[in-house]
Amino acid sequence: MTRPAPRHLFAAALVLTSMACNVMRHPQAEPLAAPATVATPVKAHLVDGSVIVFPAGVVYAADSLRGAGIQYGLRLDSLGPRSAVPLDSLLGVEAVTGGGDAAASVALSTLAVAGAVVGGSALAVAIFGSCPTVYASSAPDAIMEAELFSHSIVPLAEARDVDRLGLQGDTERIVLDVRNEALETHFINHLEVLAVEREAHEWIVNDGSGVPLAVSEWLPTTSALDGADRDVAEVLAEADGRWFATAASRLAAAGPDGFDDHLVLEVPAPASDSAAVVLRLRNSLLNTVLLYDFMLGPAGLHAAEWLGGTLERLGTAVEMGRWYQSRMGMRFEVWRDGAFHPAGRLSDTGPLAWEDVALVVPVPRGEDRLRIRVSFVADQWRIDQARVAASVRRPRLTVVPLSDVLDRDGRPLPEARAAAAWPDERYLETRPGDVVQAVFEPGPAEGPRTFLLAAQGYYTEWLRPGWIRDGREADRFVASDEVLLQALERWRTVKSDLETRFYESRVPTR
Amino acid sequence: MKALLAMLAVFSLASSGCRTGGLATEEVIATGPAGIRLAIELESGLLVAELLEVRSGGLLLNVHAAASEVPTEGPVVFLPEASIPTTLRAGTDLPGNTEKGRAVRFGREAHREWLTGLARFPYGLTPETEQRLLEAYGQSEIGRVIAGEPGGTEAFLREVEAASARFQNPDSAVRAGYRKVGPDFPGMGQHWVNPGLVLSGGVHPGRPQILTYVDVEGTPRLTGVAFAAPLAADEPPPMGPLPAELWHDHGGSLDEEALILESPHTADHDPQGPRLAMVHVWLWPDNPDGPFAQNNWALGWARRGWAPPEHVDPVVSRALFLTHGGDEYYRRLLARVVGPGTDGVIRRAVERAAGRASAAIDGLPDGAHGWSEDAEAALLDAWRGLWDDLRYEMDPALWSRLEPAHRQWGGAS
Repeated sequence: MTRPAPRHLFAAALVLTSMACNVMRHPQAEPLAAPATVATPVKAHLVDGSVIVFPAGVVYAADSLRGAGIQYGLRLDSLGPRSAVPLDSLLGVEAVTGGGDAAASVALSTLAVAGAVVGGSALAVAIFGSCPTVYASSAPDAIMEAELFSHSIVPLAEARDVDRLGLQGDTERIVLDVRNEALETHFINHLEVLAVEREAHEWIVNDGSGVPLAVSEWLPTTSALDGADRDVAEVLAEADGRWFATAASRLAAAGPDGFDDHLVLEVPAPASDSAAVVLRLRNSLLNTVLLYDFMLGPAGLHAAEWLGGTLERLGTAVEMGRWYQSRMGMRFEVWRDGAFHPAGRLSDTGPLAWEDVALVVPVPRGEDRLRIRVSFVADQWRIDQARVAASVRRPRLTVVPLSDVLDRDGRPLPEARAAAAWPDERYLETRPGDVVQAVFEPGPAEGPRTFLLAAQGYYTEWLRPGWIRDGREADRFVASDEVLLQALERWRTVKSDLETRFYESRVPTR
Repeated sequence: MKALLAMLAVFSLASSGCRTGGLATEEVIATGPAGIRLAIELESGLLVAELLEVRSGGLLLNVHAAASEVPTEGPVVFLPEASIPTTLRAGTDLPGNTEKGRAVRFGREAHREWLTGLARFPYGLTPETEQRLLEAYGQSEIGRVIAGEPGGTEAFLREVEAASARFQNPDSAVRAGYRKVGPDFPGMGQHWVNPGLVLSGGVHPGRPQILTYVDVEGTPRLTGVAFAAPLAADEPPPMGPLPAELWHDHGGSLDEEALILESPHTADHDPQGPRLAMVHVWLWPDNPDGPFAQNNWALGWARRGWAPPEHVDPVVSRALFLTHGGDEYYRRLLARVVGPGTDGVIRRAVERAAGRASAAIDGLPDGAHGWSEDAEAALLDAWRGLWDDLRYEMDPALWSRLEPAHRQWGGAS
């Protein structure tokens, strides 16, 4: 229950270069016996920074991708046709998905002064992933404030995400570093800040659906029992970097007969009709293992078709969404009349930044204690703090629009600002190593206030060369409890060192 | 607060000369956690329930199933005003003795105010609290009384209209988690989807999964809502105020679902597989085909700020769409149906048709009086001209792919 070590990006890249990069490969993957063909459009990202677009798909055979491609330079200048590219010159392959209007997207690489290609060797081994990361400054040791829309892995899943910022309420000009530190392309559709007025004793938190709540009147937690019957109330009392994680015994016991863990929080019953369960948390890397080792990695190149075609179908998305909704995230129940009754659900947040989030639950009558059971897949969460507030209300807020987007050197990027100022067909597109500064001007405060960052967009994961080499069409992902159990089994074997390597392998931003 | 409200309500009732009993009931309700109990004689039988909230279109109730004679979809139900009899009984000792309690005439404003103060939620439920409440009672949506609800759909429509008023401003929609998905459809406009609500499912007038807008002079204007439910294979649409036959399914990609020739909708997807079931509720402009039809062809006029004519011709509406950004939609649709290699022919034909359609309405004044039969005839010609151009300029083998659509909505005279 300790925080990961401080991040040393460049050192980590060097360390990883020397590691065997098989962390995220499917254990049973075997080399392809036959060429793999993908008919949906893909982009191949090369180590030298250029991109080859294959609008009619590609064939992988003899350690090369082959197809009718057009190669583009760093500023998207056409370098002419290209029909084959060796796998060892690739950083990754990206499914060209159908969201937005490609012509209206603004690729940061075409706006910013092109820098050197960022650490090709580092990129080649990066396992870090999960959407845009946001920092309060451009300092190397800046604290991560938020990660944005981390479960929007295809355009259809594009969603609004609201994150509480740790900035002081009297800040009159907010400058946030928005970075792409992963082997992903980020499509940022909208950025705005919500300035929320509050009373001095209130805490502002989003309710999981993006609505800010003002909570107060904390109730003393009398016990917090987890699935292994440990009372972890003391660990959950403060946001102090000591976090709750599923007990090893509980994780080891996860199997076909049950794969959930839970917390039962108990507080004195308040007089109010409802109470807010306020959590500071983030996901473990179990979701990342599920994404890399089961959804994408085993299928290799065919994963491009899954992301760019199959998952863009409403039927598939419905099936996937229903399964995800029923298994992942957090489910809340409240004790009433001798049994726990469903009271709500919170979605996954991502594995990087701590997020403050609340769920409002009803307070049953006739009970002297309010007992709330929070259930989740074993070891899927890291919970730094859990509290219950008796008072909850909707506070007044002011929307602070994006006033500017700057490049690393502080130069304005008006096209990037236009792309991210309103959720329309225009997207700000960033690639690994890109960073922009998003500027907001909330002006002076008249009283206490808290800022939240609202973002909308999606991202596409780059398929790693190793996945393409070892992928099999038979391993296309279908959501099921069986796969989740396999992911848990895999997680048990890799978690001991994966977290450290993951957090240290982020792509340095230029 | 509840006590204060109850006292105010009682005072109001007393001062209006309509007091119907002593204060014991109010005191019990005001100091206890539950709302007042109601005994309601519906046509199909007695309904006994705790009053949760008095809403503009009816009552939100927590039904006491053991004491009731009519089945309901779960304990938490909405009873539309149209279903409520002239008189009902309210008290604290119901359902033990339904003869007790006091008679309340729901149609009287003073009585309604009195009831409001004695509901469990006198100030109304926020959407979040309502969701928690439903989940606490094991429901994903507000239920209804299964029988004895004359005018239920009408009441539902009124609730949808009231609840969606806040989304007239598209900024509110964005901040509530809705985003535009897919193109502007000729007969449906823009769909703004809330992904979280889609996965939650449920039919609640205040939480539609989809909002529909059309662009009027550069600003999205709310035209209605749509309810969507993610369904497994063979799973029926959700029970509720909207009959099952109103729902239609989507299972393909956005392009497949958006760029379709057929109407009503039958896009290419596995009818046995998982799908998203949908039903539209049109609020503005009035849909000549009814509030739940899949398309609202009056949108062709609404986009230009015109009142639709008495007879709304879908073909004319399509032609009008050509003058309002629809040329790109038709170009993509036709290219998708015909396949590669015809982009130039399609683009030229659509451009010419759009030009003719624009000329047909050039100079027409704004408003209802601007419409003319001449303009309608010219628009019909423009639309037919599109198909003539395609037929004569396209390879016959490729044209054959368009023939079914031409027969259905080519506007042949």
